[in-house]
Amino acid sequence: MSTDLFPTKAASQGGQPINFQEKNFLVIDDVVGMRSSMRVTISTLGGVRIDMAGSGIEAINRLELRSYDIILCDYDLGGGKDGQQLLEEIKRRKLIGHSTIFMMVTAERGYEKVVSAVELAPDDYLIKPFAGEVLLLRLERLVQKKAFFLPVYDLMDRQDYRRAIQVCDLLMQTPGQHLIDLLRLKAEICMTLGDYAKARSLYEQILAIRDIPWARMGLAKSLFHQNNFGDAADIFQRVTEANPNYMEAYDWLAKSHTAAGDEQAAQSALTVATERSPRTLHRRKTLGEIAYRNDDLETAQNSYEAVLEFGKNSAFTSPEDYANLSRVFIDKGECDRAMTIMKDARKTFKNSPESLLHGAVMDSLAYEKAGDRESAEAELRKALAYFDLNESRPGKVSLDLGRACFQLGDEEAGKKIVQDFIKNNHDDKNIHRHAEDMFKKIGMHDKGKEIIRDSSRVVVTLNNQAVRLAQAGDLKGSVDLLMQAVAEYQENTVIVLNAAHAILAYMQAQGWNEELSQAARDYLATVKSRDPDNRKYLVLIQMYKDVALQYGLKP
Amino acid sequence: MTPADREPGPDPARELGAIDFTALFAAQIHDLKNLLFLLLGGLETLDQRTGIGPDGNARLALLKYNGQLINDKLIQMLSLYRFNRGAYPINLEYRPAADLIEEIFAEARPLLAAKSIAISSQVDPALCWFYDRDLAAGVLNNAIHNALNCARSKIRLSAAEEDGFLAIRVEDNGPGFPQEIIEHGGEVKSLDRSGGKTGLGLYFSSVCARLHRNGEKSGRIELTNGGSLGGAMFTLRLP
Repeated sequence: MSTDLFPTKAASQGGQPINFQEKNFLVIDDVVGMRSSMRVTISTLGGVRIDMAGSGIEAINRLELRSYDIILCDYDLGGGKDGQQLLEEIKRRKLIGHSTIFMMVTAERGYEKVVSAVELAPDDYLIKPFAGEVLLLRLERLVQKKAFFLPVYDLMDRQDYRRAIQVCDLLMQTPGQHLIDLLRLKAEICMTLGDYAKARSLYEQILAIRDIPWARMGLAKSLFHQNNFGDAADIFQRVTEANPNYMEAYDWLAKSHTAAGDEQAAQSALTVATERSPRTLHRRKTLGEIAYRNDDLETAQNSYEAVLEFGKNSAFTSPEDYANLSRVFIDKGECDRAMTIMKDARKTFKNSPESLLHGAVMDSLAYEKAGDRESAEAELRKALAYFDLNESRPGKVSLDLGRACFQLGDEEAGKKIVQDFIKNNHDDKNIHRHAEDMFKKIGMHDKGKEIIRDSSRVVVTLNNQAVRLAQAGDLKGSVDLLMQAVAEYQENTVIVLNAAHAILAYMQAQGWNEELSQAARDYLATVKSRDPDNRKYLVLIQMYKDVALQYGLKP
Repeated sequence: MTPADREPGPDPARELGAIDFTALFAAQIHDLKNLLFLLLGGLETLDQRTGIGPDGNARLALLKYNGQLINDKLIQMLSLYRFNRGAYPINLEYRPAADLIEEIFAEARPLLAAKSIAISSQVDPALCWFYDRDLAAGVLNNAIHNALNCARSKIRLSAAEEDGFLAIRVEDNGPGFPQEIIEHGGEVKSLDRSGGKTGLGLYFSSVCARLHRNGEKSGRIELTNGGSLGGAMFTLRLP
C-alpha cells in the first residue's frame, strides 16, 4: 500500500488546518445535479453549513441576507449573467468582504477569465472535474494568501491608499511567492492614485522579471495616462498580436488611437475585437459611436442594433441606446424607422422621463428630416419641456436637442444648450468629439468648434484664476471663486472636486471650519454618487482624512 | 401527423455537411467534463460508505483511475482545439513549485489502491516559478497515470531548478519507455507505431511545454529510462 513521504501542508508552509464545520459555504450553479455533487465534495472536507443558489439573482438575495466564508460559483450560469459578471456585481455592491473566498468553477479555462484588475478577479478557479483533495489544498492556500494581503486590502477599503502602499513596501521585504502579486497590487494602487510614473516603473520592474501580458497592459495604461498615446498604442497593439483573445487590449488600443486622433484605426481595432467576441455590449456601443463619427453609418447601425438585440433581456440598455440607433436612421433618411425605435424605447422603459425626453428629441429630428416642420417644432417644444423637468440630463441628449434647435432655426436656444453641456464637461475630450461631430453633420463645423472652444475656455479660465489665487496665497479667494462656480456648473465633476480641494487646502493652512468642511463633504458625496472610482475623488478623500487628523478630529 | 411530416425532409448528408464538427465536439467535451464531474463525485460518496472492504477499495480506485484517464483525454482534445483556435491564453503565474506537486500528489493518492503502488515526492518548498498551473497539471497528471500503469511498486514525483529551468519529474520502477519512444522524444508520428496508441498524450505534453516561453527559451519534455527508480523517467522542463 502507499507510503506517504510527502511533507504535509502544515510542515511545509506553516498553514493551519481549516475547521470547515464553522464555515458558511455558498454554492452557485444552475444545474441541480452539480449543486448536489458540490455539496458532497464540500461535506468530504467536513463542511456542513452549505447554502445553494440556482441563479445569480438567487445568489445576490442570499448574499444580502448573510455573509459567507467560501463561495463556489459555476462560470456558466445558464441565461443572463455569467459567473464573472455576477462576481463583478457582488464586488461593486460590496456584498462580500476581502476575507471571503470566491472560487470560480468551470469546465475549461477560457479567455473570458482574463480579467483586467486583480480586484475584480475571483480568488481562484477550479476546473471540473476536480477532486475534493485539490479543493482542500486550494482553500488552505487561499486562507494563507488572504491573511497575507488582508492589511493592504483593509486600508484600501478605508481608502487609505498611502498607507496601503507603505504596507505593500513592508510586505515586500519578505515577499516569497507573493512577490509578483505585491508588485502588481502596488502598481494598481498607484494607478488609482494617479501616480502614473510610479505605476509605470513598477510595471517595468515586473516586465524585467518576466514578460506577462497584464504587466504590458499596465505599462501601456500608465503611458496612456501620461498622454503618451503613440507608445501606448504600440504596446496595446503588440499585446493583441501576441494574445489575440486579450479583449481588453483592443479596447485600450482603440482608446489610444482615438486619443491620438486616429479614429479610423480605432474603428478597425474594435471591429477585430467585435468579430472575436460579438456579445460584449459596451464595445459594440463604442464601435457604434466611433463608426458614426467616421460617417460609416452601416457599421454604426449594425453595432447599435446588436446592443439592443443582445441587451434585450438585461438591464444593460438605456433609452440612449435607442436614441443612438434612431440617430443613424435619421441620418440615413429612414425617418419612420427612427421613430419606431423611439416608440420601442418608450415602451421598454414604460414612459420613463428619460425615455420621453430622448423620444421627443429624436422624433423632432426625424420629422425635421422628413420635411414635416410643424410636427418637428411640436416635438421640440415637448422635448424642451422634458429637458427642463429632467434633473439628470443623461449623455448626449443635450447634443441631439441642440441639433434640433439649430435645425429648426432657434439658434439661441441651441447654443445655450450646447454651451451648458460643454461647460459641465469642459475637459471631457470624448464629449467634445461628439459635439464637434454633431456640428459637422449639420454643416456648422467651424461655428461649432468655436462654441465648444469658447464654452470650455470659460471654465478653464475660471479654474486657472482659482489656481492663481491659491498660488498667490489667497486660499480663501480661491475657495469663494470655486464655490460660486459649483453653484453655476453643478454637473461639472472637475469643478466640484476642485472646490473640495480648495477648501481642504484652505483648512490645512488656516484651520478647521465646520461650515466649509460640510461643503467639502457634500461635494465629495456628490462625486461619489456619480463616479465612485474617480481618481481625484479618491485622493481628496485621503486628504480630507489627513486634514481632519491634523486638527485632532476623527475623520 | 402534420402535413410537414409527409414532406421529404432535407437531405441529411447535406445537412450534416454544414456542421462544424470540431466546434461541435469541443462543445460536447465541455458537457462530458461536467458529466464526469458528476460521475466522479458519485464515486466519492461510495468511498465514504463503510463496509466496502479492501477488495472494494481497490475496485473503487480502479474506477476512479479509469475516470481520470477519460478526463486526461478530454483535457488533451479540448486544449489542443483551443490552442489551434488561438483561444487559450497561457496564464503564467508565479507560484511555489510545491503547490503543483502537492495537487498532483493529492489527485493521485485515491488511485493508488488500484495497483498497490507507493508514491513519494520531493520539492523545495521555497522554490517558486512562473508556470501555467492548468497546463502543467494536465501534463503531469497524464504522466502519473501512465506511470501508474507501468510501475511495479513505486512512483517518484519531484521538482527542482536545473540550468534556469524548472524540471519536474515523474519516475517509476517499471520496464521503462519502449526504445522507439526514447529515440523520437515527444514526436507524435513516431508514437503511432508503439503499442497501438495515438500518442495524443505525449503530443499534448510537448505542446504545453513549448507554450511556456521565457525570452528565447521555451519549455520541453524529455523521456528517458533509468533515473533514480530505474524505470521510465518523464521530465517537464519549464523556462
